[in-house]
Amino acid sequence: MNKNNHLKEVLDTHKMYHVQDFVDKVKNRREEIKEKMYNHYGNKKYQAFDSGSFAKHTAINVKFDLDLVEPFKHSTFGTLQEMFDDVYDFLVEEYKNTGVSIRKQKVSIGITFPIEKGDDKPVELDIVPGRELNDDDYPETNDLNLYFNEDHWGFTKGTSQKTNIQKQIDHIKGKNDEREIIRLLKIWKKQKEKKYKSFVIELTVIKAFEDYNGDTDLWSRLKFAMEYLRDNIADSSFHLYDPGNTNNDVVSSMSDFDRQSFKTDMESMLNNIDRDPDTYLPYYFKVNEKYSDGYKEKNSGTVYPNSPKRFG
Amino acid sequence: MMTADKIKELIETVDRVSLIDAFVADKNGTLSGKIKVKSGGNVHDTEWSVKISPTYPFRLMDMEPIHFINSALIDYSHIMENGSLCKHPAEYENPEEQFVHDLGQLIEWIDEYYIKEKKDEHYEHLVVNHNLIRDQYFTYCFAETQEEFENEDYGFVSYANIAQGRKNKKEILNFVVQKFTSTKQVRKIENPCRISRAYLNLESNYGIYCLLKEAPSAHNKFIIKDFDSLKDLFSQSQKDFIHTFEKQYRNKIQYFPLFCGYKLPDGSIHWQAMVLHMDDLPIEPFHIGTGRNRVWHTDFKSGKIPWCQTEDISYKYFFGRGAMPQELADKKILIMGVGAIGSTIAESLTRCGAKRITVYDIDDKEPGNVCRSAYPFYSGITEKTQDIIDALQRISPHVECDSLKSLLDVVVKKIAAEEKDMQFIAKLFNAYDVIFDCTTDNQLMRVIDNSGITAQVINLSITNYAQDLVCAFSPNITETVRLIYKVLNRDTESDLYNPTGCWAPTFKASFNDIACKVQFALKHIIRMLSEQEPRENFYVTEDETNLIINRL
Repeated sequence: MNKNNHLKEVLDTHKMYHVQDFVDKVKNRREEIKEKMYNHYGNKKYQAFDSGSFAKHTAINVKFDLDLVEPFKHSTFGTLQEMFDDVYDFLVEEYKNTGVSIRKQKVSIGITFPIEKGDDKPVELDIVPGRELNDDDYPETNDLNLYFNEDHWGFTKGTSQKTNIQKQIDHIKGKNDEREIIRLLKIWKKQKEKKYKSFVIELTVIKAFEDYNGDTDLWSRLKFAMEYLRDNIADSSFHLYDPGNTNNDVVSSMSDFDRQSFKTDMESMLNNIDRDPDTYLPYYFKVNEKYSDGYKEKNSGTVYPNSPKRFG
Repeated sequence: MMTADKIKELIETVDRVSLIDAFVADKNGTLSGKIKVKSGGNVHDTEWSVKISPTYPFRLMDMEPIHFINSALIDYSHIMENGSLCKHPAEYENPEEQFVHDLGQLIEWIDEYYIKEKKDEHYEHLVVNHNLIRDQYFTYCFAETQEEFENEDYGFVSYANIAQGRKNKKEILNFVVQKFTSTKQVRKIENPCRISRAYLNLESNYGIYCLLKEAPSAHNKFIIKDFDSLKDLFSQSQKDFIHTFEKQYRNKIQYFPLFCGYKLPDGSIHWQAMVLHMDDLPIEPFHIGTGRNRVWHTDFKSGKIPWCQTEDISYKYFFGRGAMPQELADKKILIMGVGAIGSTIAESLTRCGAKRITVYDIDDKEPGNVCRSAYPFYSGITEKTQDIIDALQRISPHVECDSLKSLLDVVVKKIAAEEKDMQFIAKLFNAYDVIFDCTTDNQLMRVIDNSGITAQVINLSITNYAQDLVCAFSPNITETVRLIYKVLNRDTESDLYNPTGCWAPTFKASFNDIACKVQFALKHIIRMLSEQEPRENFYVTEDETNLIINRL
């Protein structure tokens, strides 16, 4: 099989334009919320902006986030918890009796709209409230403090963390080659229901390609990223600093077991693909059959026995 | 072989040791003599009678072939009731080297435990001799209770018979304690042992328990042997209760156990039972006061206490020598399909300390199943689920077992065929934490995949001759299983075993063929479920020398 053609088909069948109608619905809802927030908070906050995998161009059509960041002025709330609770209370009140579900999440407020006829899933959005660090410094720094509503990433409920979502988005801007590899690994993560954080994948892949001068074809790049993960992710001297806050080592919040598991996953995948690519590459990186146009790379996709004769 | 002359010669080579009485052999060949060991400093030297067996240096029936005896040292650690030093020597091939080493060990003990008066940190139970009681041995097993006991508590013990054993051509009557029912207060309070319902529900016999004021010990390591020394450890109410019990059960039972409880250093209660026969109870009445103020009480008569073997089978002791991680043992486990693989998994998990196992199978156990699964022939033809539950409960008093009715197959398949209410299937299976699917039912495998189960499902199967074992974790089990079988590419149609009658052909493999791979796989599965090893789909193959785990 031609590994590159297969991987290209995997990427193509996971592109967002296949679900454009649904994306538009989400975007419309996001605009609706932006407007409500602006009307309510006015000049107590700065202009909202989009984040999440859609903003970073790493979204795949089986899993994507259209998050909305709401930067508040420092003087608006006494505490970060007040900010978090106030936004939650406002949204609850605003969508009262509409069938919209609002819930407090780790650093965001999740909104789920009622599922519409013909859709597989409901429109879901995450609103991330943040507060500038000091009076009027946001326009210059873009720094925000986020509130941790649950234990998350090594932080405990009730604490906060400085970050800069704009810098996070800028960090991946223009990195098209890296984004393809990030999307492939996210497709694998989603298909195999792996719990590793997308942010870790994103930062590792970008770091891996900092000095890359190898072959530019998809498989060579994917293999390089997987080897990089295999060789580094479980190493205690390996660090991944959040571009939004260089004091925050994102990989240190992963448990040793998760880091070791990630390494072993990469090891097994590389070994098996190397041994039998025709069988294993389509197993680890599956085409999204829903949006496949029927074209199949010759010999790709293994013909399995439907009901293997098993004993026990 | 050791001789008196050789012993004398050897003793002269060992520093600090000298001969007091020369060794002489009795008619059985046992050599006896006396030695002195210098302590040094201001500490008294010690003298030891030494007995050497004619089999020396071979141990006979697990008995040491040499004894160093000094009854005056009984209060010191490791000195037994007969004054002999309890030791566990290294083994040497020739008697001369062994003897010099044994003397060295004696000197080591003197330095540590006699001169420095060292006390070991770990607790050792009181030494109890298990003697015959009216030509029978009695043993009682108890476990920690759900509630704590009041000081000087007493009441009824409910206990059940389990299988009889034999020792030295004598019968051993085995019992397991089910619960303690306190009668100290007016309202009776039940305090069941932490054992499975299967044992708690067995038919009960009754005895007495009394929580003593302190441990019934002599020299802090032996159990008290006579009632005169024991009686002050009972409260008067406790002793009077023995008479109350006697009145209630006279002519109904021949004997009953009296459990004497005492607190261990860790705060737990240890029970030591004695067996008392109704026709010769060691109690007698006495009164205080006179006339209308006269009140009768009960006390023990003089005599030897008929102690019997009493074992603590609390979970931590029952699985003290080895178990799977506690977090996994506490999980609710469902094993679907209890054939060759499933029954072995069920048995292994039970022996590893599993606490809750549910089994499911639609088949009966036939004699032909016995050769490669965990079933006995003796239980005959019966539902596999019932037979394996019986087997598991016999293995462990700490496993709660139940079964899903075979109707489950109908329910699950009907819902799947109608393609609705798959959430019901998910809910049904999500009542468990871990599900082993050993059914080899490909349709069920697909239904489980499509139902959105969040419980961890582990699908296990083997190829013909048990050449390979395939293990797939949820989610997406079907695609993994299909891929591995494609990779293995085994001939699945020829050379199967055809049972007589209209049966589907089955695979050929012995218990050993299957069990070695199942155990190997289970070792990894336990580690994976306990986050000691990355959780990955795998298959087990073998070459000429090794079992090989192939990870996906």
